[in-house]
Amino acid sequence: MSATTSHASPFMKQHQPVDLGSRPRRYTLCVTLRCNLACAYCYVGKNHATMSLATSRRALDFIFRHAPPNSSIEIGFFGGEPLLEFPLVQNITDLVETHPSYDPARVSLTVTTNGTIFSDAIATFLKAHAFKVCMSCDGPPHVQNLFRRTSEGKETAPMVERTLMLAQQALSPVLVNAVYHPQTLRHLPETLDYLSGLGLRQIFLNPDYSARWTRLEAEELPAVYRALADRYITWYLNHDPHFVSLIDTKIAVLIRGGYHPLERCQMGTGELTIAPDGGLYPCERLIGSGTDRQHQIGSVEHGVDLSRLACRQAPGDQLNPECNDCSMKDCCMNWCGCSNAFMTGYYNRVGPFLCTSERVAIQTALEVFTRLERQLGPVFLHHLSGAPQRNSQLKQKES
Amino acid sequence: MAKGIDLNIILGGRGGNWAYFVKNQKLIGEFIRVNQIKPSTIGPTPAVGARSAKAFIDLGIRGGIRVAHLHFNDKIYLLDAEQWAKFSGSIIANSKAKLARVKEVSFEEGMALGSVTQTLT
Repeated sequence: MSATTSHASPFMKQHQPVDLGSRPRRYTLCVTLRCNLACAYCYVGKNHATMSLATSRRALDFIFRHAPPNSSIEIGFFGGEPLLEFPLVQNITDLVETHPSYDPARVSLTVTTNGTIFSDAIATFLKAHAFKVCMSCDGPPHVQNLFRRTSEGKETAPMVERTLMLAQQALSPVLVNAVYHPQTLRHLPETLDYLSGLGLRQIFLNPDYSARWTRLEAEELPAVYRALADRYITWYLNHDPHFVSLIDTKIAVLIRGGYHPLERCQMGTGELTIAPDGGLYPCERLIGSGTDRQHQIGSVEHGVDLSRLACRQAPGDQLNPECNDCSMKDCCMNWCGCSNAFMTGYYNRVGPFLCTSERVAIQTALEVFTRLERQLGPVFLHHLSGAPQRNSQLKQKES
Repeated sequence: MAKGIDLNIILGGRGGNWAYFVKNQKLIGEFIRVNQIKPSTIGPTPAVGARSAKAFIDLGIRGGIRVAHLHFNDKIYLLDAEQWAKFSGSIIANSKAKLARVKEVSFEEGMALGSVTQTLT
């Protein structure tokens, strides 16, 4: 393990860092940039940088100093592949739980893993510390293996499938995240079937915004999302509700009249990512190699300089001018700065795929909502209360 | 690597969810007024009230959900199935009207708008 020592980046010498204007409640610890996979679309620049315990301590001090008082805090372990550094994850967890400001009622821990590293010891630890676990799996073997291979080019589907099965026995609930790409978009319904077949009920579907999406895929979206909706409806009618992010989050925002400010990523003010060297980034997607510092906005020693965000803000309107008078702008993820940056280079400029995908997803969600509400009565109350995953959790408990 | 997922928000966090209603407050307030729904006497605060409602009241609404309720001005308004149907109907009607007016930007137009990447240095 090569521990990276914390240091201030060059810009810190030029800018007087300022304290946070607001207080983030969501922190991602990028404990290592090492990874045993070489997924073709990955946005993390892999290297051997790994967080030292000294930097971990400083990071936790920073978190507890800046987190909003009397509010929940989420500390997520991320990478690279964080479970490659399982002993470090254990040590940092211990630091969290023994920190003078730690309050178990306020702090929740999460880990996002590629599903290739798992053991009884890991499962026992994650369960004992009430981790919420999210595993990455793009779908059935021919989809998973297309982009998610080891650095030696080996297929990962068998081991990830095995991990998903084991993890569900040991941990509950297990969340799964599937990334879709122009080459795998049309397999998305199949992916949903596959993950459902493995017993997973909380399924996140996210496009690879860095991919080169074309009009062809945009034209396919209505049929693909409709196929997802058909499955979603069938599962509900069969008393087996699934949480499917693409549908459930949109139903929730429709019911609640749009994304609440707290749900938006609020780069740098609502969430922060901490690199192995203690550098602060507005989002884990923007950490890069942890050394190029394109998106770095501070460090745990010096705090955040939000003015750094300005260099990636396109001049003029806060969003694309076309967004300003769009009737669905409040229900659209046009605020996602990292997605925008991948598509257009700017935090505040939306790419065409996101615009199309959001519009179709909202339309699809509204159709699902209308049909199920008419057929089953009030099934989306938890969506109104901001907890759209509850339906699938309740079903899991009942079964 | 997937983007990390904001679990607390999606899972509902630990209280404080009434803040989410702010965007629909006008609609909710109007709905409560028009339908003359009286505030529940359960619990002085929304969070406590919500838990109490779940614990003690079961209107037999399907889907594993104990009771339909709205939060407005720090009070809880319990809805029966018919009232919820009205409420969700108003959401559907609102959303359909908005979708009918949604800004259609063609993919090519979007490409042009988003092509600022090339101007980056």
